[in-house]
Amino acid sequence: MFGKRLGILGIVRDLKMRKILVDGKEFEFDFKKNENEIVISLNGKIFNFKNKGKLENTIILDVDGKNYTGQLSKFENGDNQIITNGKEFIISVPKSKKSGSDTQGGLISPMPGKIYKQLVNVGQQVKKGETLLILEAMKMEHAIKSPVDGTVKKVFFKVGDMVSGGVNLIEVE
Amino acid sequence: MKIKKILIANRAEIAIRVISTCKEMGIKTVTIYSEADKNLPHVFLSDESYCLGDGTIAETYLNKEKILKIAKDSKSDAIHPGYGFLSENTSFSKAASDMGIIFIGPRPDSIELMGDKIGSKKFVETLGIPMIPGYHGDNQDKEFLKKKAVEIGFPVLIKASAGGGGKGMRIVHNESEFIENLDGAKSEALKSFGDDKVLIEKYLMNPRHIEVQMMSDNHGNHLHFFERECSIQRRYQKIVEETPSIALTAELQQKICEAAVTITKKMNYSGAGTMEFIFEDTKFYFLEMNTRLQVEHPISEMVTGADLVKLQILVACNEKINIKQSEIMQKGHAIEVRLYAEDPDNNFMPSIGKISHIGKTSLKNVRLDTGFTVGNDVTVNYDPMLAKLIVWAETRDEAINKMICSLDEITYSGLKNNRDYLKRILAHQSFKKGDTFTSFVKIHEESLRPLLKTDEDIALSLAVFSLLEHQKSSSKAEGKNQNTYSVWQEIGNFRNC
Repeated sequence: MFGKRLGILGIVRDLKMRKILVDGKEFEFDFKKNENEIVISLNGKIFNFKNKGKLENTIILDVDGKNYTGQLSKFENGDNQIITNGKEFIISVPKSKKSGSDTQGGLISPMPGKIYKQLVNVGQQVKKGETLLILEAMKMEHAIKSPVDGTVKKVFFKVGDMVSGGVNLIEVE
Repeated sequence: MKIKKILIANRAEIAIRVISTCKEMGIKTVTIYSEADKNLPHVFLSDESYCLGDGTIAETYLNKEKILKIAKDSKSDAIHPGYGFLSENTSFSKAASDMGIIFIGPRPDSIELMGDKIGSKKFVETLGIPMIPGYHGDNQDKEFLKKKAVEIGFPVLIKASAGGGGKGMRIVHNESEFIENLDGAKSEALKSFGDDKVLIEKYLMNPRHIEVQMMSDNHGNHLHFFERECSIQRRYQKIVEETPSIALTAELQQKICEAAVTITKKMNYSGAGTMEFIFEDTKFYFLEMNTRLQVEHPISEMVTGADLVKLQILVACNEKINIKQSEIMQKGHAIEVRLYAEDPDNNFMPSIGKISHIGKTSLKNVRLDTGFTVGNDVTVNYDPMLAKLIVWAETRDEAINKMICSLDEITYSGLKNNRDYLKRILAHQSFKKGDTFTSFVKIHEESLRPLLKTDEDIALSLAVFSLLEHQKSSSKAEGKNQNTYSVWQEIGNFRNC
């Protein structure tokens, strides 16, 4: 078995790298934990953190005696907001490319707002340039138009729903 | 005391601010709220609260008839309008007075005089107060205005007389572009304010925005509570304010404050107000007057020890302010930052979300004025301000450091906000030096971008993520919360050592 001796954690199998997005950049990392410690492997380096425990929803980690507080919150669009000693990171899992979803036909909200009008249903035939829904944001109406001739595949929200910026509103294939 | 119950015709942060002083004075409070705001703390912190129903701002917080009816039915003696909304609406203040309800604010004639940019300039000019070179007369003939612009000297600023918030404003750099910009400004002014009258001013390239806090009673006492510098702005929206202004010598400070009092004295002002000036190269010029209490009033309170809302209420009760100008002293330095629900690193895009954590300040002389509590949803329906964070310290440097520390403690987690951007502004060399001009955020745009994070930083964030997300996943496995989506389903199970 190949492996790396990781201090008190002993010999382990090859590390399996997971893909993760931090502040929009993709990284590969892996981690190992026990009750007192967590080890992160990132960019070919190994980082050891002692786990001092949890206070309410804040975790306390220790590096050579220095305290680091950590909190996790969720954004509306599902991204994870991590704050450590006041520094903020947005962590999310990279989405796998499914045919037709993020490429052609997946329409993203340009900014946060409210669904004001839903003009089409699933299964409906639409033409390129046809208005599919109207988003009310920043005191203005934004028409979300179909980029292609096709069929409405998925409708994610209904009239009155509040949406974040950058979320999928509707899919046309 | 004449006033025993006050209806606060506003929401969120300023409503809570007024409640706080009323509680100290033993005055009962009534708040109003829209259906959308029903979970906000200003609904629960007052003695009574009434729902304005489901609707737009016009149908709720700007609904004069509804609000006056609630004031009458609740037997409120007075209405505090806060800032924005109906605070400078003379038909509202007159209607309240007609009903025998005291409007906590200046008289309608003062609001009308200062609400008109052209009219207010004409008035102030007669007092010998320095004005920005310009033309603010009635002749609106295009060729005449162009001639005036040439006389003033480019660059000039074309401003809508009835305007505000940067609408109907155009900077013109030379004569050849004048007419097209004039047309643009006029059409925008007509659309936004229903009035296309404009004035022309010399455009100052690198000014500071300095304003003076005014307070007058109905017995001839016209006081000032010193100045505030509000030069850190973006699109005419203030982000950072401080007092005292590092640009003013003691002599200049006295000159500006006395000029401001000359104006309130002449108009026999009553109540709280702010005199705004524009300042460049040791010269100051009258800009406009805001006839209301302003968002950034807390910094003036921190350095003088005053409670400006209390003084407003006393004045409204027709009482005399028993303080002499010579007794008002400024001590130390105060800074305020405004936390907004927006993403400065993505074109200041507004953000929405549920506040999952706010935090607590641990340092002395730190004040957090906020309209939200944990669990509240922030939407795009209203102003995006989450909170005001205010610090006081003996020196400016100490205040800056205290603010940076406090910004690490107050997070407003759960949605994107400008917290880190504010830290970058405060930590910027130019801010530390006091080189704060209204062009600050634009000029330093590049150096205000987020710093690159080290591998150590990123590894730490991943450690926190792995531990806290893992906790959610393991409690799911034990059947504790069936609805929690866990990221581990997508990226693979964790392994114990």
